[in-house]
Amino acid sequence: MTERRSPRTLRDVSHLFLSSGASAHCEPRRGSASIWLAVAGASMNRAHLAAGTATAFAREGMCVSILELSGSLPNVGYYFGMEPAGYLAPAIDRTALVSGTWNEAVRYCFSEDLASFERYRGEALPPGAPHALLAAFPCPRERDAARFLEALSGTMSVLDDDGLRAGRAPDAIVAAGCGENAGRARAFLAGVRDAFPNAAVVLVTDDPGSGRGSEADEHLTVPGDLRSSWVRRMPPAEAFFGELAAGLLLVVSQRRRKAMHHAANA
Amino acid sequence: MRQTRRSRSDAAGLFALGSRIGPRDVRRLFVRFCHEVERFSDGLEIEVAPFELSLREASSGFFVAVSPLRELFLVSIGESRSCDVRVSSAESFVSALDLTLARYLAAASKASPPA
Repeated sequence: MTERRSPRTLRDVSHLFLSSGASAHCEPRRGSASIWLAVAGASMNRAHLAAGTATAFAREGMCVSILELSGSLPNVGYYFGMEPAGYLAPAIDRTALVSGTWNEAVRYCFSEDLASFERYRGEALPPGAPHALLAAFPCPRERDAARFLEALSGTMSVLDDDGLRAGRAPDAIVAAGCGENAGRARAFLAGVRDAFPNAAVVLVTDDPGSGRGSEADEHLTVPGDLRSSWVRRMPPAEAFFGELAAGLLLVVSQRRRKAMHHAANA
Repeated sequence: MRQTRRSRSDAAGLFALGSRIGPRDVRRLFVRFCHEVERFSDGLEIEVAPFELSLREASSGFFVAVSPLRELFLVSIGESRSCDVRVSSAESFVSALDLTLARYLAAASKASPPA
């Protein structure tokens, strides 16, 4: 497990990931990564974390699709400046599916009901830009986790713009939890490590010591003042989100290179 | 008799309180409102009194009281109850919930994270 010691910016590492893998003989395909953000409890603001991470990717030229299973308020609609009638629609109708875009680089959808995402038809993405597919959801209870994660894998295909609509396993999984929920986040990561052995796993907590002995490839500590932007109806832009996005791209690209190396030597 | 709990609200108590509201759609909004606010934080303490339900978070100082009336329910935000929103429709529900969420996030933004 890597404990973050020195600041790393998204710009420093984006070149590691952003190749599309196109060949001279076929239509270029955008590079993409599927990232899951699981948040334990309400002490870590799920929508704030998702909106901040998405906009950190977008600021570096990526396009981002967010799928948020919004168990509690606020949801990403709040942080992308939606009108109250829009972002609060799931509070009136649990099956409501709400979607929108931000600065043409981020498209998002949220609902309280996983099955409702099947209805999502997102706006076209800017051509060529690498694509981050972000799922944000509350940490499932242990007994429901396997079924939920399998369903989520299938549902993530609604964000793919390659027309294949195939289920998609995550490239990286982030588990976040503060205070007494840090233990739940660690336990969740241990479970997903077995379920998705090829995915990079990252732990985000408010305790620098809580990453020791965990299953995580990386551990990030949430700065104490991150809450100060919870109330603002705009995507948060703290340096922490750039660090998280950079860390994610780095671990995903390292795993991909390792897998390619193994394949070449097999 | 006042009932105080630190756990999730008792559904039966909530429905009993909501039964004071005549129109079924407003009663449903009352229950939805209480459930939504309850989920803002793990640290909300819920108190059901004979004529109102209140939710309080000690660490942030957030407080909201919800009082069912005959045709509507009243949302009072803050200990001083300086801000009241009357809810009798989906539109007023949205206004009340938006305002309550903004007040909660403002309070939580200033509070120290839970240990």
